Amino acid sequence: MAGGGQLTAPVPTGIASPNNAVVITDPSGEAHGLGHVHTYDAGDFQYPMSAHIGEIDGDPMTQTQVYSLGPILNQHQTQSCVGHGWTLFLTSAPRVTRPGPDPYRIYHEAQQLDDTPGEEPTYYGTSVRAGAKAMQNDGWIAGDYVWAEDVRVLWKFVLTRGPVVLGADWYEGMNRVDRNGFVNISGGRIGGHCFLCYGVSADDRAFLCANSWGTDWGRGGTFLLRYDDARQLFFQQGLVACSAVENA
Amino acid sequence: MKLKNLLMRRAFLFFAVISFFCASCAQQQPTPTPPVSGTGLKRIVQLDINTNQPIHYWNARAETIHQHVTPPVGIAFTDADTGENVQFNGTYKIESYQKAKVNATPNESTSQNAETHGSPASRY
Repeated sequence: MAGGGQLTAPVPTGIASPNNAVVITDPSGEAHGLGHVHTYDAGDFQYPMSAHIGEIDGDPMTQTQVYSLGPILNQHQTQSCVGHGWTLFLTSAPRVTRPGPDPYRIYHEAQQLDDTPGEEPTYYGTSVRAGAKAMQNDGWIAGDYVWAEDVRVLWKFVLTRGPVVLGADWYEGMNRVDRNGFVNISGGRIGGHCFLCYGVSADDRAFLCANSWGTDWGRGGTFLLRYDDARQLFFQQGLVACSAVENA
Repeated sequence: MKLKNLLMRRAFLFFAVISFFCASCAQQQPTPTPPVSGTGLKRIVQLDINTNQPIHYWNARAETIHQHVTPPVGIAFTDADTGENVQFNGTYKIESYQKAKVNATPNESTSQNAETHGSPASRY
């Protein structure tokens, strides 16, 4: 299989599983869960990220920004990436809330709040939106949560405001990082995954992202997502980007 | 006579074709684009990890900058103004000086100098 990743139990191929559970095995043999379920909600457009972009002096594509990142988490083979993504969002700058919420609690609460009927063990995974609602319900997010309209808005928001929780289609080529730290959109789509974007790199023309598969995976648990790949995912409606903003 | 005319026509055609190619090549010369990052000099900004507000500025040449993008996030570089090595952990920004900034107007230069040299916040 391209990219060194392989699907193992409980799903032989793709994501057409009754319970939506997907586990991949990385090149070192360690198994990791996915778990983001993308659901469309027209109401998201009422909360655009573009309204919250700060001032930028010069060309944003020539600027790099990296936020202080909280401890890299490990969801192991669970489908709780949404809970881990939101927890890392809160433990990273500029919120730096330690130890932060329990990622499994956020995940299970999100399962109750998402648009998909059922919960574990009949249904695995949840949406980034439901994760945001769970964070609000538990008081971790005081204001609204907003959504990136396109990749350029996402870049500018990260550059001026802070990290963003991403939910993306996940491809076989993303199971490992290449020698430069990039994941590649190659092979078949195997599911959805949630992770944190905690910076932008002008030299790499890429988003800095943190996974929840421990520090042995990727570049110390992190990876680079090319700007053009993110744009492609946006175009395919295979990427959502959400962050919290304080009410004025 | 016919042969002479034929040779002259061919010579004319030959030079016309050569002229056409020369003109085409001249038009296809790429327009030089200004370098995105100017002279390679970058501005490093240390940001408060809670407020995201800038607290320190430095100038550094790109080749001296080393980033650590896994926890603990940090950056190390050589201060281009003092030659001292600087390292800190936390949130940071790297800005490229645009051409307009390199050739800044007097007012902009003053402002930039105030940030990088004159401000108490510009040094530890």
